[in-house]
Amino acid sequence: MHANKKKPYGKLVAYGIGSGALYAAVYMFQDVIMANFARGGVYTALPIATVFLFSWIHGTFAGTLWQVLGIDAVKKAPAQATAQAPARKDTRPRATVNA
Amino acid sequence: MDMLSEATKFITLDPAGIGFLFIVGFIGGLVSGFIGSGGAFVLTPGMMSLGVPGTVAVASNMCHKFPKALVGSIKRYRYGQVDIKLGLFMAAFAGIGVQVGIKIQNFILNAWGQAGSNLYVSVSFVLVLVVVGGIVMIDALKSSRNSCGVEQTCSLALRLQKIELWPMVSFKRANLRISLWFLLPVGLATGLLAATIAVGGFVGVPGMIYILGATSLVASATELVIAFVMGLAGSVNWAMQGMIDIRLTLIILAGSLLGVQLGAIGTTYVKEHMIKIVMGTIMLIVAVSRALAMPEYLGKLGLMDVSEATLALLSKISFGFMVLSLLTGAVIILGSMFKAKRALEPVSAEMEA
Repeated sequence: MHANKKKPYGKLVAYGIGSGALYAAVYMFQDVIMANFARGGVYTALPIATVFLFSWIHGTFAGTLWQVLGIDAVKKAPAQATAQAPARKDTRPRATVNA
Repeated sequence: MDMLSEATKFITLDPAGIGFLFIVGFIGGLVSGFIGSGGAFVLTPGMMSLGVPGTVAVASNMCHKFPKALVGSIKRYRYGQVDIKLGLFMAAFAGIGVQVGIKIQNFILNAWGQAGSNLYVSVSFVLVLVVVGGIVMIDALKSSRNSCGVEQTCSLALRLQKIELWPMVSFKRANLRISLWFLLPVGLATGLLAATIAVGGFVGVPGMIYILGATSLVASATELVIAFVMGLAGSVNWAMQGMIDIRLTLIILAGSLLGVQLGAIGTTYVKEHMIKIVMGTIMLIVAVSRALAMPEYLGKLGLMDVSEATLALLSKISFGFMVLSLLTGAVIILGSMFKAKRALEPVSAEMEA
């Protein structure tokens, strides 16, 4: 879409390496991870924190990948097309001055 | 590793299993980035077919859902489509709905056993999908005939917005003001359905569109906020019981984080009624799939006479239909994105010249 815009290759490579390293770490240490992550109790924080970390690193990598491939949002206008109910008229009696 | 996986009830993964989870994760992510929900209904049975125990499959699936929803909602928030306040209100009510749903499930389980419970899940699945999916589809076809593709807020939502029943709540991004008393049932129903069939978005999104009066863009984007809150709460719950297989979760996440962002980008390319078309199509195909699973439960309850071979065949066809629903959704999304991009290309080429 934005051919004249510089593509974030550096960011893609950095987060790509980060994401790859995280997945490699999980694969290499899966015995320790599986033994500890499923203990429950206070260990609950481990899987939750892990998915947050992956969603940041791998999520940024994924987003940058689409950007580099040229797949980017086209219109960023807010989607406010809803029709609204007309405002109700104030029907209460009103004090007026009749000169 | 083998001893460990036996001891911790987790399976050993082979490349085929990893590939399957990655691809389903990607397509599920694509669909949920676009319509706000979906994918889970294929992932849970898919994992179970790889030998993962049911509870571990549900827990691992849930644990991939909330980071996916987080990434998707951040992306769509940047496009101005997310109403955070509406999402939090809906999530709070949906939380209550989940508790009610669990109570109903337990009651049915005690009264009629596992087969009765499965039948209840299947019947609610089919009923909700056929009725709501049908309404969504008819409406989508109507607005697609409308040449400009602009959505009309339906008359029911307009009528409800006019009723001044205290307390009234305003939602700035969704651009609507409605009584809390109409928000409550939509949220409750979303939670109730999430507890019953695990896909609350199938009533959450249509509810926000037809009862509250949000556009399908805002409704589907806001559903991601609800999915995040409920997914996080559910995952913490499962993690406390040690049911999450983090490897499975991370594999699905690898695919779904790619898919969810592509789906979110897709919403900026297409006309609004496309969201309804994809949602209606998926819901109606999944309804067929669930209907095919019903003879098994009817058989177990002694209400129907079916052979083992027939049941095995029906179960395979049923799973096939669920996969088909996701694939159809993905094809419509990618196809309409491709079409929209091609239509835009001459314009950008002219601008560059």
